[in-house]
Amino acid sequence: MDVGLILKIAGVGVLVSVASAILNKSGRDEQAMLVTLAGIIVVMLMLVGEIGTLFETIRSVFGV
Amino acid sequence: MESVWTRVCALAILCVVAGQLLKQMKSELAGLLRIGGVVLILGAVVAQLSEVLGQAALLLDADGVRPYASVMLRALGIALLTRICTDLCRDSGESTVANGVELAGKAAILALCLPLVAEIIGYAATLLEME
Repeated sequence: MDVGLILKIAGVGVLVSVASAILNKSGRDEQAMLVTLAGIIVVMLMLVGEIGTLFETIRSVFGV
Repeated sequence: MESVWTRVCALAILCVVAGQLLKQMKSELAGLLRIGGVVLILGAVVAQLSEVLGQAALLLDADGVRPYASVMLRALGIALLTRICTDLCRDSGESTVANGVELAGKAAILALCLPLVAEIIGYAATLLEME
């Protein structure tokens, strides 16, 4: 159980929100949207491995 | 076991706090954070559960019970996975997807149990023939 993952996701969220707020204020709405998209993709890449591990564990424990 | 339990509680509180923070700043990432928390907690719980289930499997290893116990364990696994997935979908406001996953889980468990139902019907048929 890696608590750091949650902190990483929260950190990425805070960074992305600050960056997109700054870009929105300076009138670069498209770039703000792209930053948000990049943040979501980064977090999803972090999660995919963990989800796969969980599913494999459940499969092996319950023999599904 | 105990230390894992306290860590699960701490992780849940951390998830809730970080989720509230992210919901105000970037609500798109709050859902992903929720998924991450659930995955971590469940990973820890299932890893703990594997020891308990191993001991239960030793208890259920008698000749007459073995096939039924394995079906029961599989159904439990499918139900657990389906429940997690539907809860995540409902939390994100996608109850249609959640219903689809629920139906898929029900179908999987039904397919798993159908041979046993056929066996019961076979027993009933032989009993009726004896009468």
